[in-house]
Amino acid sequence: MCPLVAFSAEMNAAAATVETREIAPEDQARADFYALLARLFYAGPDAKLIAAVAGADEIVAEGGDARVAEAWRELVDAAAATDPDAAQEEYDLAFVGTGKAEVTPFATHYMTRTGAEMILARLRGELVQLGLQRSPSAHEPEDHFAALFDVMRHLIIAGGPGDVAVQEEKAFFEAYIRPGYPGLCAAILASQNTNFYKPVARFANAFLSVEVESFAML
Amino acid sequence: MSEKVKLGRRSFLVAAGASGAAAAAVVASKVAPQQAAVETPKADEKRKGYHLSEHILSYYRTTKV
Repeated sequence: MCPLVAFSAEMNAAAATVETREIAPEDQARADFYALLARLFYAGPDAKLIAAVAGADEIVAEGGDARVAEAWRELVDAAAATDPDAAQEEYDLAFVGTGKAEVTPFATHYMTRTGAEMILARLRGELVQLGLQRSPSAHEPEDHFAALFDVMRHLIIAGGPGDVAVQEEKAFFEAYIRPGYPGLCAAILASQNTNFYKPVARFANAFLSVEVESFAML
Repeated sequence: MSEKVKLGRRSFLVAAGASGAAAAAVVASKVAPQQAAVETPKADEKRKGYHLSEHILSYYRTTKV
């Protein structure tokens, strides 16, 4: 039951050309944040991940904008105080559950204006164009936030520094992540079953709001 | 897209703390704790970004049944 999008053969071939490219530190950091969010929204954190977050360095915001740095510090502190078993139970209770999950981790749930099926069909078409496909063992629809974050990570790492690649990141983000993430974060913060995932949601919210603003500059 | 725009966005990202590269990398490198076990034969250091994902994907497959 893996919701993540896997690379197709074509994409792996394209990756060969990526190796020689230096990724700017801020892009690497963005990719890493997306990787972390993808992992945290895919399943509850295990002991090693909790320990890694708890032991992570502080982020130094070099300008006056401290929202990511503050949210990160809160997440690190929360990880230090979190029991991994409890965090996994929390994930299952809030995001999986039997029947309808209390917090739905699927983006189309928060994008009500267009029908979910239409959005999913469009998303599948775009993933094909990007050379991506759902991993063979995945059964969840492609609009799982873990998968969407993983696509962003992939686009940042594989896309190259050119304008076209950044516009591709922007288009994907604007179409599938931007409309839904505030609803997801709000639902997590309102949930009575979330504890560790509240700072996760605040960090996601802070980071993704920076993404919104940075894409708006393009 | 002009160089000015690109530079503006870059400085914004850095100023907003999205350049916490060291902090984020430490965590991302541990996102897939079973890396060694699932490492692909061709994996090497230069392909960090790629095999990070492969590891993560494989990790997901092995842990969530």
